[in-house]
Amino acid sequence: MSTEAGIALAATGLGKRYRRGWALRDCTFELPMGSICALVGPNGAGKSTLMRLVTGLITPTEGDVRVNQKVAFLAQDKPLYRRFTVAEMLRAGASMNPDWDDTYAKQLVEEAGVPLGARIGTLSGGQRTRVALAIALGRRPELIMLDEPLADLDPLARDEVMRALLAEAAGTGTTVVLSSHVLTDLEETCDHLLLLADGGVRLAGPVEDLLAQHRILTGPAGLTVPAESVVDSRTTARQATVLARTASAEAGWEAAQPTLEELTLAYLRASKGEAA
Amino acid sequence: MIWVTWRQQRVQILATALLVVVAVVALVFVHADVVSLLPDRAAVSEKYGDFLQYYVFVMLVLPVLLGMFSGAPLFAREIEQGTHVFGLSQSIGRARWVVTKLAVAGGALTLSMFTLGLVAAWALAPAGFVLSGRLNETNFETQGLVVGGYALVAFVIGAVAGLFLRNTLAAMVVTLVVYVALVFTVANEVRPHYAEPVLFTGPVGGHVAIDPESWVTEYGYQDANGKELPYSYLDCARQPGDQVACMRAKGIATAYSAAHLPSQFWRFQFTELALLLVLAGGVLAAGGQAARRRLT
Repeated sequence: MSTEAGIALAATGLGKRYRRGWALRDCTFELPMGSICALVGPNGAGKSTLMRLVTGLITPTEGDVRVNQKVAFLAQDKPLYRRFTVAEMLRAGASMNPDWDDTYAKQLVEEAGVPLGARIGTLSGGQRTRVALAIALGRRPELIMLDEPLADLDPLARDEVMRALLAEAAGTGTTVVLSSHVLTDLEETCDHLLLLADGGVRLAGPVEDLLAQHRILTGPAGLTVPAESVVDSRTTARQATVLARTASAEAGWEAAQPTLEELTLAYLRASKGEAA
Repeated sequence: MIWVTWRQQRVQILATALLVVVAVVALVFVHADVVSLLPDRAAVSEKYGDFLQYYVFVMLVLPVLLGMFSGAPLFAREIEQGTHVFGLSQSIGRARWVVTKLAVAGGALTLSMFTLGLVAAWALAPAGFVLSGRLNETNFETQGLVVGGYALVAFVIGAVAGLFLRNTLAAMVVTLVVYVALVFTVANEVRPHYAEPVLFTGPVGGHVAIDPESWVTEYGYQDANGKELPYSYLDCARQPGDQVACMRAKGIATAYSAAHLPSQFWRFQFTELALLLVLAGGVLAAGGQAARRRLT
């Protein structure tokens, strides 16, 4: 299904139920083309389910997801045929994709410094991710979904993969959806945020807007804020720190715009508090 | 996608092909030798009796081994290693991924075994008398058109079991159990009914004239009015004196045998091949359901 112009990905009331219960429910959001979106949430929030729904690996129980053109997917365990060499893996990519760009895929592997003759099973986590990424991008997708692409990488490899990915996204205008536990990975790179918790969307939109809509308020303990705007609050004996959905400062509070990390942490804590 | 399947399955495909080539060479040699020894049937039986027994054993086991080691891992191993996610998220799509894997791996294997079966039917035709006829169970399954048919069914059972169970070892076990049950059921319950057997009767103690290469599916005894009489040779074993006299004393007048004649061989082969193809189609249809629902 195609979407309206300028939208790479849109979900409406999207839900998936497994035998054990709902993995994702009532999920509605839109993602403009060319955006880099961070998909954040605790384990079991529905991140992988959402990615598999978008990729078409599983079908929704309710609602629908619309995708503009071609989607590539990089699953968390970076599935590649272990006994294939890198060159054979590229050939597999060509064999399974009529729209394969071999020059481009080879170039990405070369840039990663992975020898073409090496077997997939012998590659390091970083190399393996780079090869998987090269094959995902070799199809020239308009949208690429990456499920925890950095999870098993050391900090250096993490940085390299991230930079390679962003350079390609910037160069080709590919829309990227990327899930990660490590919020600092996403801070500098993502312009959109989609925060899931307990199988539902808690926060979605452009990062700049979301940050502008929230304030961290600090003030003496005992001061109050309108309850409906409070996302998360922590109080010590003397001081209260509140993350609130408000653009204006409240009387008596010191207000500051949160960082993306502070914002997501506050929402994650809040959803955990609800669940508990 | 054809290349990918070939690359993944080439060990199984080449091993099967190699095995078939070796078997074909051996069979051609045996054929030539048997023809040169004939009409001395005793010499042929003496020289090739053991060989034919080994041949039958190997050929009974081979299809199920192919089903277990080529069919069962086809999808199950990909699911275990998560690589089906790679296959399914490429441009070619789910249906083509599933169909190409089945067609390339299953097609190569079936073709090899089909060739072997036809060569075996030709090569062993003059030696049919050695193991009392090629219509007899275990001889019938191991030559002719049905060899490819059984290999195909075993492969399909393995592949579809892998889709349902998502586990290679479990799929292998299921393949073994289901396939063995299938071979026994077909041989004992289904094949005797492909045609109406010919009835041979003769007086007790006399000789029932019957082609020794016929497949006797039933035999028994009747009284003078043609009524079936239960009789086991143990009934007269303890009686002193003539066994025939003892049987006559029990009222047994005639012995009969129901048998399929050796000339039915190819008709039975075609019937069983058709049956196996329908069966494979049914299993594949179930597999199509599994591919839509369980392949995620």
